[in-house]
This record gives sequence, structure tokens and C-alpha cells, in this order.
Amino acid sequence: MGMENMYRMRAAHKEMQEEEKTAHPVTEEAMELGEYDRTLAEILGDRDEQDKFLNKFLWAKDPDKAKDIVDSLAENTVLSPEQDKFLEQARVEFNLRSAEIEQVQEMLPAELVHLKDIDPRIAQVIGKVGPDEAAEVLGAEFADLALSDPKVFKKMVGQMRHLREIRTSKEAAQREEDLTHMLAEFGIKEEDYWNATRSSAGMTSGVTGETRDQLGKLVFDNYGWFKKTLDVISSGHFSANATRDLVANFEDQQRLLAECDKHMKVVGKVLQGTLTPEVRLMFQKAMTEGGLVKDKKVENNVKTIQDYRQVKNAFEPADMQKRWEEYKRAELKRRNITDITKQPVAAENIKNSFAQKELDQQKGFRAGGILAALIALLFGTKDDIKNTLKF
Amino acid sequence: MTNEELLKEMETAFETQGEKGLEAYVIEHFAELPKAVQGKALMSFAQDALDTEAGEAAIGEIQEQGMQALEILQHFKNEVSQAGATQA
Repeated sequence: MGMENMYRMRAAHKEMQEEEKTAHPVTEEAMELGEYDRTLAEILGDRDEQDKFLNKFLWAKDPDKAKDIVDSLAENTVLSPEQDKFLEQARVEFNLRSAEIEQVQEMLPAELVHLKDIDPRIAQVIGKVGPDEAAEVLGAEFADLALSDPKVFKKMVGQMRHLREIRTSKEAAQREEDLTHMLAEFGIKEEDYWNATRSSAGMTSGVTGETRDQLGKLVFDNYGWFKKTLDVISSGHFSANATRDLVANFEDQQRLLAECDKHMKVVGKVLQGTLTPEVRLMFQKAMTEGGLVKDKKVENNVKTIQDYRQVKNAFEPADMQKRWEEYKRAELKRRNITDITKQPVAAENIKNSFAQKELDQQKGFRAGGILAALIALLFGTKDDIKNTLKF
Repeated sequence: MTNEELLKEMETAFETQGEKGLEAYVIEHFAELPKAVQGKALMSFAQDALDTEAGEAAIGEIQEQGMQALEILQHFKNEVSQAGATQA
């Protein structure tokens, strides 16, 4: 390949990457940065955007580098080339993320209309505050998540993207009717297979933890075989055009028919399982944890009343004030400041760093579901923390 | 109601009735909660709804793929049977 071609290819590749980078997070259509195509000066010149960029986005990206950069900016010292590079890279990502947030927020009113039919709690909340306010509240939370926990944001946006494609496909009820019909037509009756574990354990009334584990293992194994069968089929091994060459004699014919039956049984078991409520749930788990949705759920560590009490004890306001006093003393010494009232920028910066440190510590306690709301009220916002800090 | 009062009531709901009680309290008093708390609650409901839907979508995908596989295998079986019959 000539050098000219190589350069052309590289340029095209770069162009493709650029396009990919500015794709709509959900629809994947081309997306313009528009008003979010901002310089660093423009971001830092806007108080709210500066706060989001420096105190949320940079911190989530790299707290150590963020702290040094924020200190340098506050003290008007020159950034190192490495810091400059990091900041420039972060600026590009921040602009893109900001545009993505806006695009996702625009989709939320319609998304909520759909989600309220799946989860009645969402319908109840909409009933309390109205659809517009619900979308606004969720939009603000999405924005916060996108900047401070991009992994979860990407997972949720990924789900929205995937579901957008799925929602237009065949209705579930119709598909299950077709499936039941097909299994009956092909004489596949594997219901008993799924009851085998329960029966073999001598448990006929209800599923216990033990039988659930066994059933779960069975589901996982069967799902693996199912995937392997799909791979064999997609390799063209069962192409109908090849039959004349494959069937040279009666033994070949019987061997191939037996092979088909074996695979049909594997597929049939799985399909039958998707129609069996307990097994269906386990297939969902097998798929979401090991297949379709790659991200595993982040393990929560605040699950019980006892966990909550421990967290509450660890974040007693009086203890936080003690930590603040120590931090304040150390920072004033480190910065060689004798009269903080003459340096309001440094004062704000010290409060900000401390509040961020507290938030980072709080992040170690993760609560799922409704407990996240309780924890949020207990911890308060960054501004709530800053408001309690005095020099 | 102040945030402290709200926190106390939410804690009581959680301590006495568990997560379900806390959830019911949050929904009932949703409009009174601080925005950040509303956001966390609604986001957790939305996450659950998306997870539920993703799980159902995953099942749908298995079913679609499985039905296609059965059709291919059945078609192949018919061909194999026919090819054997022709040779016989």
C-alpha cells in the first residue's frame, strides 16, 4: 500500500472516530456539539459550568490531578504541560458529555410516559408532581450522574439505546404465543426438565434457596449450550444446500437427524424455560450479567437498617466538624496563610476541597433503590456541607 | 417540614416498615422532598424500570433467536430426510 493511501485511510479513520464520538448517546445519529463547543475560558467564565467542570467532572475523572489543577487555577500559578494536556482532553470530553446530557434530557418526558407503564411507582410520582416536573427532576439527576458517575450514566443510556431498538420489534405477547405454538408443533415438551431439580431435591412445594441455586446453575449451563448451538447454526453447518453431499448413506442420515434432535432439545429446553416464570427470571439474570448487558450492577453496601445506622454514626455532624477543623488547620499551614479573611478565593477553595473529600468518602457508601434517597437526605448536597464550614 | 424532620420521619418509616414503608413515605411526600432526594428516588425507580425492561428484552431476544434456530434445524431435518429418501 502506498504512503498516500495509508495517509488517506488514517484520515478517514480519524474522521470516523470523530463521527463516532459525536453520536447521539441514545439514537446514535450524528450529533452537533452546537453551543457546547466551548473553549476552556468560556467554561471557566461561567460560574455554574465552572463548578460542574472543575468540581464534578474533573474530580470524577482523576481526583488527584483535579485537586492540583484547581489549586493552581485558584492561586493563578502556571499549569504544567501535562496538566494542560489533561485539562484540554477533559474539556473536549466535558463538552461532549454536556451535549449528551441535553440530548438525554430531551428524551425524558417521552421515556417517563413509557416507564410509568412498567413501574407503577413512577406513575405515582408523576401523579404527585406532574409529568413536566418529574422529567425535570430526573433530568437534573441524569446530569449529575453523567458528570459524577459516568459508568452508571453510560449503562443507563446504553439500556435506553438498546430498548429503543427492541420496543419497535414484535410484541412480547404475540411472540410468546408463536413460541408456544412452535414448541407444540415440534413436539418439544421440556417443562418437566425444569421441575427436575425441585423433584430430585424432594421439594415439591415452593423453591428454596438450595433449589434456586441448583436451578440457577442449570439455567446458566443451558444458556451456555444454547449459545454454542446458535454458533454452530450460524456457521452454516446446517445449511440445507449441503444435505446431498452430507447424506451419502443411511448411517449419515441417521447421524445428522440425531444431531439435529440433540440441538433442538438444547434450544427447546431454553425456550421452554423462558415460558416458566421462576426459570425466566434466572435467564434474565444470566443474560444481563453475562451476555446482553455487559455491566454488572455495582454492589451496594447499605442494605439494612443496621448498615444505615453505621453510616449515620460515621457521618455525625460533630465528627465532620472535627475533620474540618483538622483539614482547615493543615491547609492554612500548607498554603502559608495567616489571615484567611484577606484571601476569599483560597477560603472558597479550601471549603470546596474539604466538601469534595467528604463527598468522596460518602461515595464509598452505596445504597440502591429507595435507600439511596434516604442516604441523600442524610448526607445533603455539597453546598449543604459547605454551608456548615466556618473559618 | 425541615430536612431534619423529614429525615426523622423517613428513618422511622424505614425502621418500622422496612424499604417498602420508606418507599411509600417517599412517594406520598414526594413534593415536599428536597430536589436532590427526589432525584435519587425517581432515578432508582427509573433504573428498576429500565432493568425490568432490559430483562424482558433479553428474554425476547432468546426467544427470537431460539425460534429461528428451531426453524433452521427443522428445515435441515426435512432436507436430510428427503435426501435419504431420494438415495433409497
